[in-house]
Parts: sequence; C-alpha cells; structure tokens
Amino acid sequence: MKQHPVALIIVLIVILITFILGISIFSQQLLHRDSENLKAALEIAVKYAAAENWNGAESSLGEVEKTWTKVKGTWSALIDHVEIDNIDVTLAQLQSLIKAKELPGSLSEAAALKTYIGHIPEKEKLKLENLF
Amino acid sequence: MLVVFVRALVLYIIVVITMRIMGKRQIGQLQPFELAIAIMISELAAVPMQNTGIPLINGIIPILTLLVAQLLMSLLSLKSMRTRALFCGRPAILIEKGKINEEELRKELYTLNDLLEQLRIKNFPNIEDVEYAILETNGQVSVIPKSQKRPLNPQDMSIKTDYEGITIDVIIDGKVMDDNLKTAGKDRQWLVKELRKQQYSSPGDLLFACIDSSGKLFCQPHRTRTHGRAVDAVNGQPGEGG
Repeated sequence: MKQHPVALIIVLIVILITFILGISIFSQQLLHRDSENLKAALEIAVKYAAAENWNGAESSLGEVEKTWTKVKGTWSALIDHVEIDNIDVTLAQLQSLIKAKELPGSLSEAAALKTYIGHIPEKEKLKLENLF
Repeated sequence: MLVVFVRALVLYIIVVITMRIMGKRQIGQLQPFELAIAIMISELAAVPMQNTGIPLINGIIPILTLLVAQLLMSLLSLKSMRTRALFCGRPAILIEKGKINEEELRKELYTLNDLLEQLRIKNFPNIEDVEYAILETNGQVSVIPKSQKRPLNPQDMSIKTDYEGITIDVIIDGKVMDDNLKTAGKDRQWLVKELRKQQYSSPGDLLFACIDSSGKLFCQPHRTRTHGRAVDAVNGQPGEGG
C-alpha cells in the first residue's frame, strides 16, 4: 500500500529525533561512566603518590593509561580532539613526574588531569551555562 | 589529508541527502526559513570538513537537527494557514488595479527602481501596461498585465487548436527509457519498428528520441553516426552507419 507523504515525513521526523536523542543520551552516559572510571583509577595513584609510595603510584598510573587507551577511540568520535590531546599531554607529564618521584609536581599534574577528565562530561550536559 | 578527504565526502553525502529530503524548493526558490537553513547547513558542513579537531558527529547532528526543524516547519505550513503566514509571510500587492501601492512598497522596503527592474525583467517596460504586480513570499514578482496589453491567444481569435500534451523522452544517449515508453503507451517493438521506418538500425544509433502528443517519434542521431548515416544513405545503405 502506498503511504501518504505526510505520514512518511512524520515517520522520518520521529526516526531522526529518536536517533539524535539516542546518540546524545548514549554519548553523555558513556562519557560520564568512562570519566568516573578514569577519575577513580587516578585517585588511587594520587593516594600512593601522596604517601610517597612511588612504585604503587606508577603501577596505578599504568592502570589509568590502560583505561584511557581503551576509551580514547570512542571519545575522539564525540569530543573536541584538543581535549584528547590535553589529557594525553598531562598524563605523559604526570608519568614522568612520578618516575622522578616529585611530590608537588605530581600532585598538581594529577589535579590538572582530573579536571580535564572531569569537565568533559560536564560540558556535554544539557545545562543553561552550556547553552549560552 | 586522507582524513579531510573522507570527512569532506561523508559531509557532502549527508548534505546532499538532507537537501533531497527537504524537497525541491530548497534548490530553487527559497522561503525565508528555508534560506536560513540552507545557509546554516553549508556552514555546519564546512567547519568540520576543514577542522579535523572537531568530531564529525558535531557537524552531522546539527545538520540532522535542522532537517527535522525544516520538515516540521514545512509540515506545519502545509497544515495551517496561520503558520504558513508566520513562517513564509504573505504576498504583497505592489501594483493594484494599475496603481502603485506606495504603502506596500514601504512596508516591504522595496524601492520603485526594484519594482521597475523586475517589471522590465518580466518584459513589461511600461508600468502603464501592468494591472497587478505581486511580490510573492519567495521574493519573485508576479505580473498580471492589463487585458488590452496581454498577448493575443487562439481563444481571442476563436481559433480551435489540437490537443498538445507533453513530449516524452524515450531514448537518451542511446539508452531506451522503458518507463517513459510505458507512460506513452508504447513498447520496444513499436520503437524498433518506428526506428526502422526512419532508417535507424538500433536505439544505440540515437542521441535523443521523443514522442510528441500526436504519437510522432522525433529522432536525433549521434553526431558521428549522423555522418555515417548520411554517407550510407548516399551509398544506398541506410541505417548501417556507426
């Protein structure tokens, strides 16, 4: 049976809206989940560094790097690539500071990394401050 | 470089599909809201095409969102007169019963020079000949001439005319358009017979052929083949040239 064009347009609009909303909600949830995982792994590394347990800090940071490598590909498709580069650079700096056993530098870089990771899902949230 | 190449291709395909879904008016005479969307889409596609730092999805989602907005607006305009007036505006009568409507000109910010220019474009160099000039919602001016100034037509002279329908293309670049042939109520057998009558051996010999409303087949052979056919005709071997 030939469908009426108006009915077809309505079906198309519903499909498109569902697709757009679906992608938006999925990407927001994905970014939030991954960011929480990364922050939790980073928190452990910070605790070790604060206690000057550099071996523990290094292996925990290895876990952070592993998680980051896993999520990086998906994040690249969703967020500005400058944000990805910022995280890459800060993570590399933190790794070398931990290797050098520099407490103040490590803690400040870890804080910067945490902010970079944490503010991405915040930026994607539907909030007034993000709209304007 | 390859990334930019693929991104450009993906965005191009999406923009073409979007414009096709939006309808034919999008590539012809645009309503104000359609023009706004066309400009925005071109910008939205151009930015992620050049800047590989921006995820492709950041260009695709706004384009799809505009498509949804445009479809909704078109649908609302189709269903409601009020919405149509709101989105598209109303036609403005610039010349009414042969008199220039100054108030409408001012309202539409349309100068007399613009009006005269449009009348000249429509082949009305003398404003006296115009009964009505209407500024349509897509920015075009429609002109209705005074009855004494309009072109003479067969009805004015009480002349009977034969029916004239549309001509149907049946061969384009040597290929037979089977659907069009069916629309004309003919089949391939008829076509081959007609081609033979006109001394062509196959549809491949023709650049173009069409059927007019009286059922007559018009043929235009390929240039090189025309030459061949002419030579063959002179040699007494019509239809075998190629």
